[in-house]
Amino acid sequence: MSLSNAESLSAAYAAGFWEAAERGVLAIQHCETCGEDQLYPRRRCVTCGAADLTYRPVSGLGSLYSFSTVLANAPSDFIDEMPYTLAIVELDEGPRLLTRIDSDDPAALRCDMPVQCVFRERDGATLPYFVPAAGTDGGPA
Amino acid sequence: MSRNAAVVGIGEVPVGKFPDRQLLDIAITVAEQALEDGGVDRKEVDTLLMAPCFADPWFNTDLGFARLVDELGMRATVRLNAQVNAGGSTGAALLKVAVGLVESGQSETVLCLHAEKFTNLSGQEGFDFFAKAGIERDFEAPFGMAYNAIPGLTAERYMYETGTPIEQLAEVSVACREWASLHPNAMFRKPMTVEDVLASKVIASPLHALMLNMLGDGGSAFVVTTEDRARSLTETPVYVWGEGDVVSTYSFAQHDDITRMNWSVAGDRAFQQAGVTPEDIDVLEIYIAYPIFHLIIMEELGFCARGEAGALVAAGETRPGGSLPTSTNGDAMSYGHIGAGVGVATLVETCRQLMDKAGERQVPGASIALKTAAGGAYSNANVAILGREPR
Repeated sequence: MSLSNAESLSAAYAAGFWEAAERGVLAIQHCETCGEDQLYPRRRCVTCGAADLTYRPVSGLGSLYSFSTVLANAPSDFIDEMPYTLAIVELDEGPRLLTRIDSDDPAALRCDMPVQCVFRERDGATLPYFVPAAGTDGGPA
Repeated sequence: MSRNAAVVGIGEVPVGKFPDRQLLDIAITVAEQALEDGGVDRKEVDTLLMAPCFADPWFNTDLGFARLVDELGMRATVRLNAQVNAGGSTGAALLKVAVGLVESGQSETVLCLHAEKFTNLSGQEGFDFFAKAGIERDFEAPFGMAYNAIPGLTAERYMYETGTPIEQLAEVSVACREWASLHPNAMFRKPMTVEDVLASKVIASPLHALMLNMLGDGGSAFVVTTEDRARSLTETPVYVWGEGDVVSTYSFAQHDDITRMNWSVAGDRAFQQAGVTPEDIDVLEIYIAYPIFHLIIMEELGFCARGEAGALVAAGETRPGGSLPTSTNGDAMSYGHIGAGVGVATLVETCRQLMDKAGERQVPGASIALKTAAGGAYSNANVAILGREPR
């Protein structure tokens, strides 16, 4: 599953997400009809079905809802990266996303620890990875 | 027209790696077993409903193109040949559609079947398939998401919130294996211990290999007809008492609480419709493919309090002879994972228990059973309560 095949990179509904990512900013979708926020980007609001979704920048700060380190049986394109740690991050603004957490000290990862977004280039896309927040174990100094 | 439907016959082939066993042979075998088991003449079948086959796209296409009507000698007597695909919830969907067609008078006798052959795929092709099934391809797969990380992420959070130790997850695998050791059609039948489970390598932390499942080949079938016809065919028809179903987020990561999902809502609906409570359930047939979700389902359906399911399993209550016999076919960890058909096989096992045909693993006097299914990446929560008597 190479990102170079990802349809969303050239799709109108996701343009606001990828444009923000290229500027190093994480953006979430906001529904102008019902007021709910959501990630990942979609064509309609998952709450009310409306199409008038706009993008809003968020802080990139959140907490580690859960994590799992893949040590075997990875998909083909990720075998060389094992072990790597998948995560669900809850943003301070509310929405959650499935992502990757990079840490110098994976054994120090704990649910609910503070994390922050860092962008990584992969297969022509700028992806929101997360790391432990500055000042926490395993995070940047 | 208002009338009751009943399951009258079941069929199933052994699960495992059978490269020489053809998909059509599986399908014909389980179909004829189910018809014979129910005493149903094939010419009585007016509706043929089939689960999807994931590993062979051409066989899957054939199913929709009425090949089995021809292969089973049902030309012209069948009026509807269709496929029902709800992923892992397919068994629940087949039952709902078949019962609905019979009770509304649109069908008299419905044959539902499944056949799968995962040995068509290499192990790596299997990992790759399940890295895209129910996982968002633009925003989740690019991080290296793997299907086994779904129970991994869930277990990490659940253990954090409840304090449940990893040994109690291992106990679920051990209990399921004990049931499977009594099941001639299960893929893995060699008894194992908690130590064996924890000695197997970690695949997606905190989960060990023996807390996951292996893809296999298999298939099963069941026949649904009217209650009146059922009574003339068999002494052991099985009736649906209540169903509760929720279809929610496509991406499992988007559940409000991954350690609960929608099981309490689905359970409440099923119990309310059936007019029974957890205390009335004689056998609990969970199909969920990973131990962590067994604990969650037992708690969310009210069989025990939050955080207490692990101790219940560790005490042996879900094993043969326990107070809450659970997953008597071993669930996918021991039965083997046959794609959309584990849920069909679980329905077959549920009916088998209620028909008093489960041999060595028969739960004595089982008269009310609850079965679960989950579809997609846990988008669907399905609970059904079935009984030996009409409701």
